[in-house]
Amino acid sequence: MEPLDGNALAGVMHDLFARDMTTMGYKCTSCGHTGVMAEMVVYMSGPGTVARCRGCETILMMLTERRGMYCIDMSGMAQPVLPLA
Amino acid sequence: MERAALLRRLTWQTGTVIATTVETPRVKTIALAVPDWPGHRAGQHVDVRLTAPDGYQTQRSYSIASAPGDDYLSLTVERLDDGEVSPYLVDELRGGDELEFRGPVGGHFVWDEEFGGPLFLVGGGSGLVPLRSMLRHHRAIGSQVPVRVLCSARSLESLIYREELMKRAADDLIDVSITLTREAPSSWRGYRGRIDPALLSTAGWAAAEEPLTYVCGPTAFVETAAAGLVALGYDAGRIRTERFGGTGV
Repeated sequence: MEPLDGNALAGVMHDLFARDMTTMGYKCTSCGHTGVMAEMVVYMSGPGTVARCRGCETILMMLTERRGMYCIDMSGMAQPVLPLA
Repeated sequence: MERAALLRRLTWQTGTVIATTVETPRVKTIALAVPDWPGHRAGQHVDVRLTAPDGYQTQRSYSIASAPGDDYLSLTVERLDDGEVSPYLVDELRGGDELEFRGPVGGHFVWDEEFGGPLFLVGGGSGLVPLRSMLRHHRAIGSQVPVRVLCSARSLESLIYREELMKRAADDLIDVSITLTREAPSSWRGYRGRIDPALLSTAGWAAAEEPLTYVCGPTAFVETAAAGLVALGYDAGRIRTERFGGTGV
């Protein structure tokens, strides 16, 4: 399965954070790469969604949903900068 | 209070199919009438949700093909043979049907006139969809920003918005270049073959003009285009990309 990018997460992230999140800034804890969510490498074909760093492929964020409850794990992402709503 | 009012979760809403237009044998444009559409920015998308009779739901994200000022909200959908959503949208959906969606979403791959230009729009396959919204918006607002468009398609038959692109190319502000990667008519006077730095250089702007570039298409296409543009000296900060899981170009 080819990866998509963070633009594909726009809907679910907007739903959860009540604002556009594709312009959210982040810094990768592994390689220090900085960017915005739209540029992440996103895999959506598995049971959850995995977003990796475009610089080093470290997992930045995992998103799972079960029975309407969402769990977001931002393990590889330091300094998430929320855009203004 | 105003701020609290803005912080709303996205809600699912329903549009009614007004018309479907065949773009290519695999691609259709679906025009929707949406009550109380809040408007969108050129380049944004919506999530479409289908619900099976047993309650199973699945959703996909589709770029908006219409300009913010158009009468209807249009989506252009490419049929993926192993897709869960696109075969229904392309093969089954009819005028009068209802479609559930939420949006508009996305704030990265958007063009507003104050961003300026010159604009370079690079689209592979159905990656042209959000770029068409930008082109329509550009015309609707009478923008004076010069635009160069580079489209890549497998063949002339698989190039979406063919007639519209040809018409827009007559505009002095708009240059349209087309490259065909698999087959081209013997009379074809456009480009042939996949995009590479040489073609990007010919069809685009000089880096010194500080173009604002939007690249949309399958992942491999976007990677090739973005790397080529950076190699040509384009400012990476003025290249916006959107990758999707469509078929190749």
